[in-house]
Amino acid sequence: MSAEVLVVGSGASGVNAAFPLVEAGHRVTLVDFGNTDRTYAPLIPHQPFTEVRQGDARQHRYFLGDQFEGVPFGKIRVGAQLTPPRMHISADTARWMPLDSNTFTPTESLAVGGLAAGWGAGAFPFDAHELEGLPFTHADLAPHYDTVAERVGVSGDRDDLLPFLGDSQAMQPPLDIDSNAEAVLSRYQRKREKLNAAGFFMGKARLAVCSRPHRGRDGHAYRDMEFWADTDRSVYRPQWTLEELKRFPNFRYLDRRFVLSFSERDGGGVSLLARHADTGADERHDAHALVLAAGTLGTARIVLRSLGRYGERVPLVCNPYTYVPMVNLGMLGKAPRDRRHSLTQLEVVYHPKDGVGMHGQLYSYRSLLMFKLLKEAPLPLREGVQVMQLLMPLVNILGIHHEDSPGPGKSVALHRGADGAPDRLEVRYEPAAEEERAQSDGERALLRHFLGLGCVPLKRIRPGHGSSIHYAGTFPMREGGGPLTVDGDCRLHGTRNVYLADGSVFPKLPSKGLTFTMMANADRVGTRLARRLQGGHV
Amino acid sequence: MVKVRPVMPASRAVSTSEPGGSALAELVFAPLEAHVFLRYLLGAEPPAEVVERYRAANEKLFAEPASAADARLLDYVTRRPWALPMLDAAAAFRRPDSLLRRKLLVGAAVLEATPDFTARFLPQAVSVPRLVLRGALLGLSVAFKLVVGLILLSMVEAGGDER
Ligand SMILES: Cc1cc2nc3c(=O)[nH]c(=O)nc-3n(C[C@H](O)[C@H](O)[C@H](O)COP(=O)(O)OP(=O)(O)OC[C@H]3O[C@@H](n4cnc5c(N)ncnc54)[C@H](O)[C@@H]3O)c2cc1C
Repeated sequence: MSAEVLVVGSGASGVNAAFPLVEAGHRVTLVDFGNTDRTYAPLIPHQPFTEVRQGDARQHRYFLGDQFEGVPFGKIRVGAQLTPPRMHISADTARWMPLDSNTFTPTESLAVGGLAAGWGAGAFPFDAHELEGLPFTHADLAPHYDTVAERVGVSGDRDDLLPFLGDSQAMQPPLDIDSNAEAVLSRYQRKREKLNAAGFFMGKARLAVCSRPHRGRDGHAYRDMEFWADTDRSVYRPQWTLEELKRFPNFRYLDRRFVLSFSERDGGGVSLLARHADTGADERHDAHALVLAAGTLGTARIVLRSLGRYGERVPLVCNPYTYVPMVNLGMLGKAPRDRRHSLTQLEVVYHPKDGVGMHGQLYSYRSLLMFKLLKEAPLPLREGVQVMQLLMPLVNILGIHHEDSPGPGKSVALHRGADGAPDRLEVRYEPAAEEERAQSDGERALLRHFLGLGCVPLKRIRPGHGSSIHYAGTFPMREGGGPLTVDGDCRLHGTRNVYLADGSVFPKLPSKGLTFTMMANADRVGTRLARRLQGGHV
Repeated sequence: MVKVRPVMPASRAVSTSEPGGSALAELVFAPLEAHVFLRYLLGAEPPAEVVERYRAANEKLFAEPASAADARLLDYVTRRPWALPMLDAAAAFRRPDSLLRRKLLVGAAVLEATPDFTARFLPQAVSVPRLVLRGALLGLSVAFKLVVGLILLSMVEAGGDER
């Protein structure tokens, strides 16, 4: 028997929950706000960065933006890596999804593909220890990791990070690293034994990027334009899965809808209330089951509104994030290769025996343009440009993610909007002082190891809470849990047919990015729901 | 070891609308300013296309009235282009969020995204001895401009600008 299922959101979680349902023959309607960029993408040539820079007279349009929105002022902010061609990702969120906070600045999305339309594609499976406390085991999730790795295309190496990142038959060869990363990796290899004994492990990045042609996408072409365009489609974007879904006759994509709430019908099934983004008209959509994948904060709004839980606080977790520009002395006197990519070059797992673990990503700097570095340098601009020309081949940037678990200072609540205005989400994020101290101490120890690898840290920058863009924990997965939790199938407590497939269900976050695991879990949620519907259990 | 520098969102970190902005400060764009700033950055007369783009950027980015302090500094360097390198050095050090610095950065961004000038903004690899030599020369140049610039900046801030 085929059933009707509604999925909300076309982000990494939504499309990966929809896929197994559609494959199983169920009729799926994916409801989405669905913003896209129609302005800049058509302007960007399919050429390498240096050729674009030297030849394209229209480059100012996409590099700076027609409204000069790519020239940011003030200090480094959340989402600073979103360039004008990616800014549609967070468009309209302030109007449709207002948020109040003095301590937390999240980035949310109403775009086709959601946040992953511009993500860094770091794809990390959680290990058994990191999944502890969930109502399923690592072995239960393993086949879904494989399915998703094949669907999205993952590349990586079987190197020192294998024990932390696991293996997958679907894994493609790693991307080639650039000259800057090569210099760091070769120093690491020379000092490996000592570093490993201190809990420091380094390897090539595990990325949701095809290094060879895969599912109609090209292999990576090393054009160094990842922050600006998807010309070779090698970097995974949920839009690629959405395109595949659209080829199924039992799949329908309904965009320009803002989902407000759901209700369960007495006779069975679910009703969804959505507002048309252009006409403002309210619509009802009915189905046997509903899968919410509107992003952790987006889903929190829908659930709290639907259950009438205004003012009630639910937990929130988010990886604390710091980044550190460094000068790599190993690059002194060396010419950087032009053939390169702008994504993570190297990963670091740091698990000191007597401290907290953390995860680092090492980037080189070029394609985000020099003027953003000039802004940070206390130099007159004439000399600044010359200094940066010399320094840029040496600069690398280390992004550090810390783990996070719930605490009394970390929560969200929904408040009713006044006079027909949209409801407002209020976020409090105030970690305990000891947490922050432990993170800071850990960072200092990690940077000492980088100093040993010839990378001199310039300063540590904390762009503020929310800046990792990894949000989770609002409706934690717990077998036998109470209200505002989900069960092992990710079904919302107290409902018969409402499932959550995004970050909401993960009670805590290890220091790795959650998105790959979230996609695997979404595939698990979709697969289990498909089976349930097949059996007529709705 | 390096210092942690917590950072605020841009909207909270920058205020461009202190009370006391003069009528002159209301000017979002002055053609003379564009020529002075772009000539400083380029070391040559800027092409019309670049001036026009700088004008458009000013219109979009600096629509709010400038503070009195910012207006005074802009007025000073526009009338005395010789002082710009020095005041840029001082502002980079002491007033990195000043309107002068932001306008110069916009100028640099506009030049960086213009094919004729991109080569100046692409990384350059040099041998270690050349790096040391060029670093030392650049260091000396910055140090000189900074010392003179800080004196000039305190004069401008104190209103010591007799026209
Ligand atoms: C620059 C950047 C780099 C990143 N790098 C990494 C990385 O390297 N590794 C990693 O693990 N993670 C990374 N992330 C985080 C990652 O992108 C997110 O965790 C992930 O994309 C979240 O997916 P999601 O499907 O849960 O939600 P979202 O991406 O937020 O998608 C939500 C979807 O729901 C729709 N929607 C929302 N509300 C409504 C509504 N009310 N009605 C209708 N539709 C709605 C939106 O249109 C959108 O399609 C990065 C994020 C960014 C921005």
